[in-house]
Amino acid sequence: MESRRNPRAVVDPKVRQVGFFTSDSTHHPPDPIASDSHPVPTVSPSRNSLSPVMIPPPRHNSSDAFPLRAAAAASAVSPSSFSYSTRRDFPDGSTTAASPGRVSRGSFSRSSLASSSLPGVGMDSMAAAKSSSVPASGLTTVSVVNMPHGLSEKASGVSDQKKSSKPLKEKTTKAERRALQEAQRAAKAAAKAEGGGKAPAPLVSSGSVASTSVKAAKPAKPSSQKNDVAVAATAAAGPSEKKGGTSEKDRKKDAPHPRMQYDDESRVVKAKRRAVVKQTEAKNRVELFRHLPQYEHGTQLPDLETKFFQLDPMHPAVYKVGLQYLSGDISGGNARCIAMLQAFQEVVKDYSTPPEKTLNRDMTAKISSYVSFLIECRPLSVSMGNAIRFVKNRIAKLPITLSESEAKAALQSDIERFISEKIIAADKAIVKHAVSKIRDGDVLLTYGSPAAVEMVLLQAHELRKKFRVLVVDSRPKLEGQLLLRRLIKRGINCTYTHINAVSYIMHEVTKVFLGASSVLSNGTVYSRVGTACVAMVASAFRVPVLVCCEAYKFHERVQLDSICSNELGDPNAISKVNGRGDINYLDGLTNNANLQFLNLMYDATPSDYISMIITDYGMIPPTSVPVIVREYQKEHLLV
Amino acid sequence: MGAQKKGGARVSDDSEEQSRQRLQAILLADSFTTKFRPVTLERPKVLLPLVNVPMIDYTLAWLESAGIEEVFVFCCAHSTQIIDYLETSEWRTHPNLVVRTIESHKSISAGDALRYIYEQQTETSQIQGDFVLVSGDTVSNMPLADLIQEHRERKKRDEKAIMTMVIKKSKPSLITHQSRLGTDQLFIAVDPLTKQLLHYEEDKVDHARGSVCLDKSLMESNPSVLLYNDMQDCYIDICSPEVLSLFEDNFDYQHLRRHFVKGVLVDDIMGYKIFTHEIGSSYAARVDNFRSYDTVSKDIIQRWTYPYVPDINFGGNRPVKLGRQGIYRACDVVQSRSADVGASTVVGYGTKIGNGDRILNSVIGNGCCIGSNVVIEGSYIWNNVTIEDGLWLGGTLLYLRIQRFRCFSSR
Repeated sequence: MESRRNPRAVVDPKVRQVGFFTSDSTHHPPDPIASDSHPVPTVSPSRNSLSPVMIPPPRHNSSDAFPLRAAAAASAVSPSSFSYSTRRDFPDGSTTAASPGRVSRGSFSRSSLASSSLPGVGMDSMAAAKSSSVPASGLTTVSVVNMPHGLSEKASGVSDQKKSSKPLKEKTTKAERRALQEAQRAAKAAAKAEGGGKAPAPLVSSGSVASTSVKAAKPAKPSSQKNDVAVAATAAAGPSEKKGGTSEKDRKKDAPHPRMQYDDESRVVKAKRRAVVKQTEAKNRVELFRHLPQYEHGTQLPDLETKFFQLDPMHPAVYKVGLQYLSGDISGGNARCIAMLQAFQEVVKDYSTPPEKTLNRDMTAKISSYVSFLIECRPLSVSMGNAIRFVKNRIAKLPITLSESEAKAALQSDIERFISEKIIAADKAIVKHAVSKIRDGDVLLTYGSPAAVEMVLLQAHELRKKFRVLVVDSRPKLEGQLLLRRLIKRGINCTYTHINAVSYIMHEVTKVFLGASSVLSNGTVYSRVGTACVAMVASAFRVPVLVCCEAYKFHERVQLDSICSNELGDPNAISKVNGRGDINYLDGLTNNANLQFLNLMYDATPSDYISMIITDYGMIPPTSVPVIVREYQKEHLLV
Repeated sequence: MGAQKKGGARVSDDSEEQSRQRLQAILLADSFTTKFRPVTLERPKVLLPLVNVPMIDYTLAWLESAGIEEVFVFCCAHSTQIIDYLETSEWRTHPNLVVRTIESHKSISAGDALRYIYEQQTETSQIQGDFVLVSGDTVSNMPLADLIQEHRERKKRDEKAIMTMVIKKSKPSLITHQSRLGTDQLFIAVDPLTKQLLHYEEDKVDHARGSVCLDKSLMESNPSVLLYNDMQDCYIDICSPEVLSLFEDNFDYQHLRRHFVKGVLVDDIMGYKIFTHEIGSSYAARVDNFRSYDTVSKDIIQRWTYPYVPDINFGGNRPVKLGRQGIYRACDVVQSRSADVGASTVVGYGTKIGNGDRILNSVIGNGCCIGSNVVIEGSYIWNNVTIEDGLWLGGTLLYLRIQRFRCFSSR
């Protein structure tokens, strides 16, 4: 593995940088994009002072100091906090600590501080930082280098906005005013906390970093931003993004943003107030993953059940699906997506436009509130995000001339068509493609219980191909056992093992078939945790890795790690072994402050480990994912 | 009756003596059935090879590792062969396990055997307390020490608790109403709190109507009753000395379950109780018929019985090497290049495999000679069998110990 890893470290940053640079460079030469929409003199001082934002400042006790806002608001405050954090960022002890990238970043920000009045210098030093970081190894460094652009742009956008709000009072929207207010509050809090000199526990976030850098590319195409629900819009971008949103009212009803940062307490509190599901925050959480929601399990379901008769705005079908998500009865990307769409069909069926409202607007708002309820039950998957986007898009595009019943019928048939075309027919197409890759005598390895792969295996068996299946599984879900049961019932010769033994068993394997929760546009496969491990071992053994994924799960987001966007499961699930009282060594330690459980649900498999992605459009290399994303999106909008 | 009182008194008066007591076991080296008939005519069942190791070795190795210190092997049919085998095997000199043999030729059932042991016992008083009663064809890896301790404590609290039987979950097939081991569907009723056995039904279940008759008093006398139809009786019992005397008193008890257990359950004058213990993760099975021979062999090859598997030395077997996909091969096997040995196969020492052979899911004994172009699937071939060219052996054919065996089975 080592030998593989090293060249990668050198080669990859370049590749990735290219991706970022293009998006950056397109809108770099002119002044920050944000200024396009808000005609404000570009003031580089603000940008320079804002650059420290890239490292979220230490989290303080009062901690409604959300990194971006705090910094955006108060350039006066941030320098000190920033210089602090430059020293001790990346607390996860990444070994690239001494890499040139970091050093240069420090110097860059210092220089930019010094030269705050000279717009050009900031840019130059940024470039310097960039170039010096090229030899750096490791992904973190790369994302660090990319950070300044996205952040500074956005930040400048925010601050511009702030500035503009003063002279052009009449033009300020509610959102802007609020953004300003929040920013000021945050600044105050930050200042206070700094005085206290609390232990910082710096929150890193390559997560927020990566997503912000994606964000940077966004303003370039504001049109796509509008109907982009699940796109990597960080909550960080909240204030500035609000402006871009279609209607503010909807936004308000729309509770937690799909990518809300849960380490921001004020936001969490706000979200909680709106929440239908009672959520008790888990206590001992892993520092690195604080931005993800994690609640005490077991309390939500009974609570929600008792609320059944009080929730009158909630449609029963949606409510049922939410309960099923919460209890884990429905899992798997396709199953969840279909359940949700069918619930929406019910919603549409029972819908009647209230007086003095238009169907388009009101139904979008309704769907949004249902979606936020579903998010409370379980974070959305990318597939669901895409489906929701589709539904909202269809609602928005409904011609005004249609009568209510016609509109409802049209919507229902649209949803029906999405299910049958994008999911069911897509699976059939995948099976057809994938079966051609199975030959007699093959030994196929699969991990977990991917629905698409299961269909492929059953179809291959029906075609009387002679092959053997190795089902690799992992605690705590042990989904593989269910797959195993179904395969054995059909008479397929199976071997079952756990992921610990994957390197042993990989010798026998001729092909690896994996499922995916989503495929991102840099070819990264986002899937059940453990998939990356299997794929890496397979590629080390020179075994081809085939990923079966429907095209509607593709997403234009770029993700380099599995930290920024992930889902946390029940920590008790990994601490307990059911039915084995004798080996539950962690009993009674669950609330120990020194012990944090991390039960991640997903991981990101880099595209180098994937030989082929099998979609309904055919078999493609991971490098071709953006093509599918682009073409598919086009078609998607035309539907 | 006198003996029984004596037993009871002993239990109650001295608990310290109990903890010092040697852990003892009675091993019935005869199944008193005719299920293995053509084979058992000339050989005792417990010496039949199970994955190339005599069955009794599995039982003795398990008892030894479970902490049993003394085993009484009751020999009846072909008793001289068994005694000879034990004399020559390493069990004779084993440091932790004393193997004694009891020989009787008159016994025709387990009941007779226990009565014989009881008679002997009154003279020599070898069996001093609780003992484990197993038959010589048991393959298991379950721990016994805790179970015996549990039994003793229960006995201390309740003198009538004379036996603990081991059960294991095993869902019988819906079609044949038989478990994987080829035994009939078992229907038992257990008190969920105390685990006391309340009802035991093996043969009178009406499958056609899917009904079973329960005594009404069962419901009356117990606050709650748990009914199982997915349990398998492992025929591993922890018994108190009263069990032996009960057999003596009721001279018509022959079968351990059909007579003894049922007799105890219906007899409310004595009020003896039988308790159950369900095992979860460990393995226990009895080789009762050809079907269970096949099943248990596969379980051994797939290592459910670990550590009693072919590649580990227990009880004097020569371990063979384990390769991928469950292929166990002795180091001196002569195998032709064109032969294909597939998954889940055991090939014993000194065996020759000819050209173009295909062997899958099978066990081949020591010293076999297999001709060319032979296909063996799912078969068990015992030691020193010679198989001529071009044969096809499918299904679970069992081969005897015959010097030259020419098989005319269909090609």
